[in-house]
Amino acid sequence: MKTREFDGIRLDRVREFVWEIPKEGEMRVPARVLASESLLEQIGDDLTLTQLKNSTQLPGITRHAICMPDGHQGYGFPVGGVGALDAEDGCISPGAVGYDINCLSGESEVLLSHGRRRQIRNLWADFEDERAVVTSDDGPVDADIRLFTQTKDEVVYEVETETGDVVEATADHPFATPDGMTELRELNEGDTVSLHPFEGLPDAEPPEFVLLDESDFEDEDPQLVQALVDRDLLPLKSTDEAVNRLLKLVAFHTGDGTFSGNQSWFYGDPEDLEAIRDDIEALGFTPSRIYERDREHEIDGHSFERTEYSVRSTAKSFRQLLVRLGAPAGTKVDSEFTAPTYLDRLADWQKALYLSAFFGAEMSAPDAMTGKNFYCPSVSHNRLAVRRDAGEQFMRDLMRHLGDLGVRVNALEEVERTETTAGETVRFRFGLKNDSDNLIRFFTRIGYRYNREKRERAMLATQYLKRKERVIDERARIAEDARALADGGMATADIKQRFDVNDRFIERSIYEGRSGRPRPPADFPNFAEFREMAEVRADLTVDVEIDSIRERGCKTVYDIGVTHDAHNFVANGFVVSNCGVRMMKTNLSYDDLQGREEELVESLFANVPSGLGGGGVVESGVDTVDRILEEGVQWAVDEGWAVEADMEHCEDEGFRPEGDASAVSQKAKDRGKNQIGSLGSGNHFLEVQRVTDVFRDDVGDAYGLEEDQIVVLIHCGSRGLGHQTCNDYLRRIEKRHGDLLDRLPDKELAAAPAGSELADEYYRAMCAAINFAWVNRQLIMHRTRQVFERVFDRDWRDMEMDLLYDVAHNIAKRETHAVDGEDRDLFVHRKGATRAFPAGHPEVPVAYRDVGQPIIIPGSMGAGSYVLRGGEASMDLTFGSTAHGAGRTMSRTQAKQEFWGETVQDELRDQQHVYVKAQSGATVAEEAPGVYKDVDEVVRVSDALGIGDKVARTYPVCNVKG
Amino acid sequence: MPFELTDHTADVGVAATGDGLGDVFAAVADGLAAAMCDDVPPGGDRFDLTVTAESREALLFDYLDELIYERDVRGVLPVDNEATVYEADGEWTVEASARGVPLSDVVARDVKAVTYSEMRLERTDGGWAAYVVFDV
Repeated sequence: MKTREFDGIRLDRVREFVWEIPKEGEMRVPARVLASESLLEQIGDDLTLTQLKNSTQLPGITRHAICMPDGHQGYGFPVGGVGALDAEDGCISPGAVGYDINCLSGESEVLLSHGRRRQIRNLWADFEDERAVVTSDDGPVDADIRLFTQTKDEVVYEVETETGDVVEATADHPFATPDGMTELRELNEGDTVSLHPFEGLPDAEPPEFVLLDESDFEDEDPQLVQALVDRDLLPLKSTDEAVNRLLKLVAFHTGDGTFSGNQSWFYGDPEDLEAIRDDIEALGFTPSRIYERDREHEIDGHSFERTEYSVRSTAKSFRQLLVRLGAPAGTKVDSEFTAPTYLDRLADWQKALYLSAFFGAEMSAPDAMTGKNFYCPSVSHNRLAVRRDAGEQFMRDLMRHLGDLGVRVNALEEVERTETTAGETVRFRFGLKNDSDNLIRFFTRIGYRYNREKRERAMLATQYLKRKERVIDERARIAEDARALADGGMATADIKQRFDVNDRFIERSIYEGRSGRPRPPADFPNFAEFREMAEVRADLTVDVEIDSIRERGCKTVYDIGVTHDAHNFVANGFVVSNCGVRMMKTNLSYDDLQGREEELVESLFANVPSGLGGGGVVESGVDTVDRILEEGVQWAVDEGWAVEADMEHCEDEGFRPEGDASAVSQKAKDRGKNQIGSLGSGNHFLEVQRVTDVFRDDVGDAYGLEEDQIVVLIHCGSRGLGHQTCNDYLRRIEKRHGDLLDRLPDKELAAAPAGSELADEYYRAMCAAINFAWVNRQLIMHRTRQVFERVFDRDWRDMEMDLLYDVAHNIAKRETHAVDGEDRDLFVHRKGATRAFPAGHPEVPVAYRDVGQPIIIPGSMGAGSYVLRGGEASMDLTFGSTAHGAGRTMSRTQAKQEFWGETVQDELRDQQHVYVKAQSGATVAEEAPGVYKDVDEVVRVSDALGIGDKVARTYPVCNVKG
Repeated sequence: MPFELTDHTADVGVAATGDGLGDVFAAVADGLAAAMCDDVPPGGDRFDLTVTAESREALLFDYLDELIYERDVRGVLPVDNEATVYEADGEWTVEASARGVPLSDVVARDVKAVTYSEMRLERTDGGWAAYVVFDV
């Protein structure tokens, strides 16, 4: 294999024009460079390859980071870079205890899927295969872990809550509070934080054994067996992910399910049935929608109505799977079922899945019998007397498993026998011991599943009991101290002075002794009152006060970042000025223009604002800026700066609906309000060009391009507003997630990895800035029409000055792409790269759908520009992208030494008939033709790879620069 | 001159030195002005600005970002920068001033933004050195 190396970065040649930097070290994916050997030589000459390599470390990056043939060094991501980041990826919230990402001491427990917990420091080996529980508005959900970091010698603080929960974290660790995420350093004793009381059981790998294989289904139809094999459910091993879902489904069905023919029915509240649906679906079966029907019941002669909700699966194979795993097949009371024997061989947390789902259906909810003490949550179970032994066995199985998990139970009772139509039935019952420790252990480690109401109640009960125990502990300590002081001879009156409890308590402690622990004080709320005060959020978190914050010295700290679709990952450093390029056609020919170049260039320069402090076509107030940010080109149509056809020929029809003016800072708007419709300076320009070649006639026809035709190219972005927005968010992200950024190789990559709200807000701000950029180019184009009207004394419509296309080349966009045969929702970041969708893609405007999306590649002054169309290979190779221009090869400072602006200007005019007008000679020198890569070579590579096919070439006539 | 414009393919780098932190901040700011304009005429009124941030580097970034903002909003080129930097209670502050030359009086190019790319701010034997890349 052919390889090249630049400053220690090796590239392997995959095939012609395709080079790959293999994945190594911290890289998450390989990187690719699309270039000829001569272009690669230039690309390897500066930091482009290092920056490209760095970008592969961004969480969520998919397949490859890609450098286009015109790539060059930028800041953070290279210019000419394409990175597709999973849109469901975010480095956020392993919110088990309302934690966000970030710096917890190694002992901190992280709640993983299926009720498992593990110390964060033990996640390093397999974190990428793990799923952590994230708190979200829809309740706790599982999310992939995508990031794990470890930092030595950080100062940690121990935070203890009023309920005795303890966590160690660094000062910048954010905690969920009622006012949003707040760093620990800003929290004080007495402040409120959110806590997710459910802890789960220690994570452990179950012993591997086969639960079911084809021999268990010998009497079944081979098609049924095949259906299970196809879903990877046969053979079924104890270590399969599917087992964890099946345990819950089997258990819940044993409680609140029935079979009817091939159908498996589950009954519950709608939102709990949703959770059941999700699990059925995850196994590869199609659950029904949730059915609702009103049923009439009659009890003791009173009839009443109640709404019954249910969900079912009609798959025979699903039913047989549940039955083989222990769900009773016939009438439950008349069945010999016991708890499945395989439970004994599973890991503790798996047993808990079975138990908690059964309890979700069958165990009573936590409730207080007297004010402050709880009933024993209990399970009742009926069997026909002839099935009595099996029934008893089933109950004893459950009790035994609970005992193994550290939860104590009362003795099994045979409560009653009744005569029914089916025969004599026996009713068994057992309850959990109701001391606080035992109940807390049950609620926080096992609890109830598929039953939201009971889970919420269990969380409240947990918090209540923890609080109560802490108060009692405190009183026990006081009692002991009081007794010790009395023994030491202190007068009772003095002892009473010392403690903040009622006198009677001290007297009893000293004189009467007390059997067992003290009771909580009279003013301690009972559970009913507590339930009024406390609230469990949808994500099963509750508010608690911080009792103390203590420094605990230096420790190694750990972070994980998790993915969740509520927290979209948006990389900031990628996408700065939203700059892009548009081309306007005319029906003028080069002949019509010759002799008028000087007049045209002067007139354009005078009328199109450019340079620093040059103002804008529209100078207005912030209210106008707000409208532009939210309405895009529609605003220009309403204000007479655009026609409907302009919208139709713009990418996204010149409007990003996500644009939100309130996400853009006042500072950014202040900068933007005087720059609406302005070119700026640097490499941005307006150029009147003539078409010199049309390479593909059919596409040329569709685009309305022919040789010798005059066109206008406009290249600029969202100006100061876009840059201010970018830096505002860069700094906010840094302040909020600075330590995470420290671990990325370049601060400017400055992804918004964490902070769901911030990433989301940034995306809305960026979309607003894109709306602004489209309007900016639209105003310049419309002003150009007016200039042409004056110079040629004709109406612009007569000159058919219509927009060909406007496409951004500095932009992040949410798109769907096939990756390894699977459709993935991705944020495709094109930094100095252009979208290049092929013919037939639904996002290509109708007018061009048969031939592919137009791509405009601005070149340098002397080399001309190109129009391409999206190539067939672009979706496979580059997430539908190609190059964006020529790309610099020489620094501006060097260019100014090599070239003299006025000389360049004169030579262009005299030798090439290109008329340049710029704010300064230095600008001309900096942008001289020699400082750019050979655009012909860039386009040749794009065309050969089939990512962007060349359609036409244009050559400058007049060029206006800032 | 305590600053120098350096080669950077697409953008402009400013390398600056100074005896104190304030000096090196002001020198980078003068480098920013030089990146926009080759010949600065006399005239223009001085204006003050105060910026605070959580670290030295962040302060340098925010200070330069603020100068670019002031440039666009006031319509002046900030030159002859002066700056004093101090720390109090873990927060860094720069109190600075600049002469604002009206943009209508100069031929100037746009520098779009300050970046963190390759940024360095470090103590040297003789004082402080900084390197900042600006997006042009």
